[in-house]
Amino acid sequence: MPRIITDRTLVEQQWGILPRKIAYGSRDAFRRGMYPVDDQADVLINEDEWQERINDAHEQRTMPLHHLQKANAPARSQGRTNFCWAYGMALAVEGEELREGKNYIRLAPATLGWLVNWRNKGYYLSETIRGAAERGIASSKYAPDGVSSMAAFKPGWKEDALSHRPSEWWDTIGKSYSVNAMVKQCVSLILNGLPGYIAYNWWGHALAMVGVRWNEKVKNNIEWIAWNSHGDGVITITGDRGVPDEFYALRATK
Amino acid sequence: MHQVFFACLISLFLVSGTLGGDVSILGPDSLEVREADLFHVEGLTAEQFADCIVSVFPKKDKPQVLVLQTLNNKPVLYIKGRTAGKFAVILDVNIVGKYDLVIHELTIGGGPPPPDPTPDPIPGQKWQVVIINESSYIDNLPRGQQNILNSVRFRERLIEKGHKLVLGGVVDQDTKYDPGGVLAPFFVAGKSMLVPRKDELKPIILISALSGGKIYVFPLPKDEAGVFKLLEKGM
Repeated sequence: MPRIITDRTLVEQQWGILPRKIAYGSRDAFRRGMYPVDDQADVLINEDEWQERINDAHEQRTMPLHHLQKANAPARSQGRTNFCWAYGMALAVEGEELREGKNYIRLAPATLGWLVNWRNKGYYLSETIRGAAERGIASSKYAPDGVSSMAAFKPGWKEDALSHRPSEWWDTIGKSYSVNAMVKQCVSLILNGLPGYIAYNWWGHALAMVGVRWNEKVKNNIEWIAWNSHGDGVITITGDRGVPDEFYALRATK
Repeated sequence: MHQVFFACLISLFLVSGTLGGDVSILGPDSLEVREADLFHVEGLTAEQFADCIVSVFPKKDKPQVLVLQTLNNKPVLYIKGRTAGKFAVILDVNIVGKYDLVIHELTIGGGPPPPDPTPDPIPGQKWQVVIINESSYIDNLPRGQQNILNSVRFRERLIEKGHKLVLGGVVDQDTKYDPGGVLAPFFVAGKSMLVPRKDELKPIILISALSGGKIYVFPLPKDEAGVFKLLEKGM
């Protein structure tokens, strides 16, 4: 059963992410393959369609959650590292590769460690998008989970990483600009079948968003289904806390 | 009217090279539809760069021109062919206090796609399937087509009926496929259909017998039932 996070003690337990570095819709964002979702208004799905669309998506199993479950993707643990930004990215890429009809390949988030000079520290999601597109993420055959250095990596990991590179993203406006707009953008992108690479500032944590569920008893009527990297796998978050501060939907890999 | 104006622009270009003094656009004279290239802009000062305006004539069905930007501190234009035709890429540049036009003639090639072939009727034929789409247009597709692209259930039903989705077989048209890989022959077969038409970038489905052989290309049916009808047509 998905775990519902209601305990405030989890908040700020860990600071694995840094605030967004580049502006929505900016030239820098375009260079990273991040396209503003409200440039194409038809991506967005009206609120009055959500209940029916979400229920249909669960019936047809079109969300990243369904692809990961079908592939028996295991729960992941970042251990004592602050590499949630790398785990969130790797899980989003795994989800998109499955949507593209590829076999499930468990990726090794630690192979993104070069972005922080192999130190055990947090990082920007937008910069991780740039780095992952440039050098990719190696499969877990080459590197274990829960490490931040490359001491345990196997030779060939750099070449293997080039086979797993995200290329195009939908960028969202950000919760700080408008919670309502962010809810609409995130729900719409998940209903388009795309995995989200997300950040919660209240948690200081990055994850992959893999689904939503309709629930009229919770705020916005949405349960947010994320794939976490604390050894727990699927978790569900409700209320405004479930609305990501940053959400990048991966729409293609190289 | 457009053609007359266009002819005038091109004649002026042919006479003077550029109207804008020493500023010129360097790049190919032709592109194919969906092909892109960088066009270098020579002789543009930093001040001219700051207030230069880029436009394309005729505006209808114009190529995609991103904002003039710099690459290694040199101004460049990124141009991508959208539809076939002859166009003039125009820079409106302030040269010594007066605005002048710098023009580059560009022909975009690419004809209409050929008619779809029809599979040979082979009783009991099972198919391998590839779907090529433009990932930025998924949201524009009818829900039935979105389900074909995204649904785990659809893929399970495909297998139940003895067909299979080729590995990596739901693929963006811009994907750099391995020329020796399993997707390569499908990309080659689908190339003509990948040319955007008036209703741009509709997804296509490519099918080939499980044992290999000829690849057939079709517009993606509107829903799952349409796909299975298509696959059963050859049975």
